[in-house]
Amino acid sequence: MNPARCPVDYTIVSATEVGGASISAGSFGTYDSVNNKFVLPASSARYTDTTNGYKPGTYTVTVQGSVRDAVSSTTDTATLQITLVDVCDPPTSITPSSPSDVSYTISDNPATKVVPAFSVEPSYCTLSYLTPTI
Amino acid sequence: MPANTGEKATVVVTAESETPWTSPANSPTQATAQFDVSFNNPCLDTSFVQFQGPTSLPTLEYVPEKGPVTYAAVTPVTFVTTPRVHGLCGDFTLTALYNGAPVTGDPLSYNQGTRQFTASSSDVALVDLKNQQYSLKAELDSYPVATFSTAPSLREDGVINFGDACDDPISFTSVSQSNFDAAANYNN
Repeated sequence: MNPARCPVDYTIVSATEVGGASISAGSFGTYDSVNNKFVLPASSARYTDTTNGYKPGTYTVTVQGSVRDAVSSTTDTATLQITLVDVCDPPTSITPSSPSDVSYTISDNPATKVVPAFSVEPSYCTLSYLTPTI
Repeated sequence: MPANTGEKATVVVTAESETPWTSPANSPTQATAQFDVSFNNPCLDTSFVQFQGPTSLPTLEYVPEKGPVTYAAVTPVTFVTTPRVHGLCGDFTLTALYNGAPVTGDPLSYNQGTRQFTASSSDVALVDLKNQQYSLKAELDSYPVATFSTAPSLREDGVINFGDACDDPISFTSVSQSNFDAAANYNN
């Protein structure tokens, strides 16, 4: 831009998952015009909420710049791709629990063994337990 | 059925990461934990298997040389399993004892069919013997207590008292006597 000193305001005008549907540009994030940074609201809920959250994937984002003080609207757009990494695929770590040994007398009533839950990092990732093997 | 306690199996528990967005995850991560299950033999634990039978045996009275006497049937001995009915422990043997040794018929015998003891002896050595022990012992054939100290068993004791036939003779009959001439035999 010439002159380069003219202030420019930026907004995200569209965000479309590559190979997928468009999502609400406003909910996708904002552009920090001061620091020239793209800002995604950082919240685990944005990941875990499969209805209103951010699906991991690659998005084509269109950013529109508008010269703030232009008498007549002076805008231009640029596109960039942002990849949202699925933080739980794989998770940082899974730490198994340490279940204690048990004894069972044949013919006794059925006994239940509770295996303490494994822990996962990030903690909002979930685990499924496969059928135990003997 | 294991002969001893402590047969083990290792259980492996596996957890796999998932993602709310992709099922299954593209790069699932697994972690495993394991624990041992020791399987105990119920036939060696009286919490699970027991003999039930007479709580005591009656005191028997017998007079040698007076022929066989059969006494009232004793309470049957049964093998009970809890909490489930099963036949995992096999058969058991019931043994009747007299003074700690299996009965031989003299002075005692035991009929398992009728559950009756019979005393019969002409042994005068038994006369007036008191408090002689007789017993009923039950053990699992596969788990004798001598080998498996925690196996169930049953032993009930009673006593038998022996009397003296002379106290109440079987018969007492005079025999005819021959006369004799006292004068002829009198020694001057």
